[in-house]
Amino acid sequence: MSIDAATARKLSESTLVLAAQLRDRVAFAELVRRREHWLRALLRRVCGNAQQADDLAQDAFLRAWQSIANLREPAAFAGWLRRLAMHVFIDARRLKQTGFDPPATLDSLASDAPSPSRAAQAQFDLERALAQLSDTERLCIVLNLGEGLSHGEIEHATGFPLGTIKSHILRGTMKLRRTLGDDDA
Amino acid sequence: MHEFERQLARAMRDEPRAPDEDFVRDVARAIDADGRARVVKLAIVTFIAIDLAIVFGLGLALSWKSVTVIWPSSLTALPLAMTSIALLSAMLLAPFARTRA
Repeated sequence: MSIDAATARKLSESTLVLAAQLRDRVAFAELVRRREHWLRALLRRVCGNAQQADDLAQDAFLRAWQSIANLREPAAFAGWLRRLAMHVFIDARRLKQTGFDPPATLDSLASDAPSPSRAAQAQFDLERALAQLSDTERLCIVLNLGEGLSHGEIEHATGFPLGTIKSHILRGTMKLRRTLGDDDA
Repeated sequence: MHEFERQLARAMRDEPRAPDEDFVRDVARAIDADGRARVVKLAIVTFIAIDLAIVFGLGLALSWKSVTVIWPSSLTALPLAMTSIALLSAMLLAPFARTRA
């Protein structure tokens, strides 16, 4: 028996995870609906390319569907999905070896900006500054500052050694300060 | 956390927006395709396994028959047949052992 889409929208995330663990497609589709924007935005920051980020997000959701039965704590779905997505990113990066294409031209970013407002300009500057970092620096910075994860949590999510994470965050933040022209730098 | 880090964290925060139904549909399609691919893969593996079992069984039966023709007494033929099976199994498994090492 499967739940219908209207019912699925009213259910809590933990309940949806439990239903998805019983191979309920509708429940999983609802989980995708609720988490796609967050995951795609996270991956966009991490890999610096919208198209690649969407492909990675789709891959991460596919892996989530394949292994959701292994998730012991339904309430920890978001963290589990984030860890899965980070592994998808790291695996893809390893396969490519050369790293991801940064958002190469300023024009491509400018076309995404909805209006020439200051907020859009700040967002644009941030994306440009993040694109200057190496893949691993960007990953650590986004998880630390964007997602609010501690160094230990980043270690758990990515499998990188703690010392490496600390140095990536330090180096990455210094680069961002320089690029964004922070006065205290 | 310094002011600069706080500003960065604020800038990285996303505004909530309506779900992208196209993306949700794409994921559903990818899951369907993956399910179909798994069924096909399972069918191929089963088919190959059955084929191998039949070929192996036939080979075994034929070699047993030829052995009994040469040695009519099955008591003498048994150790030879067992050695042949052991050698054949070792030859079949050798590539896997090399791959793992």
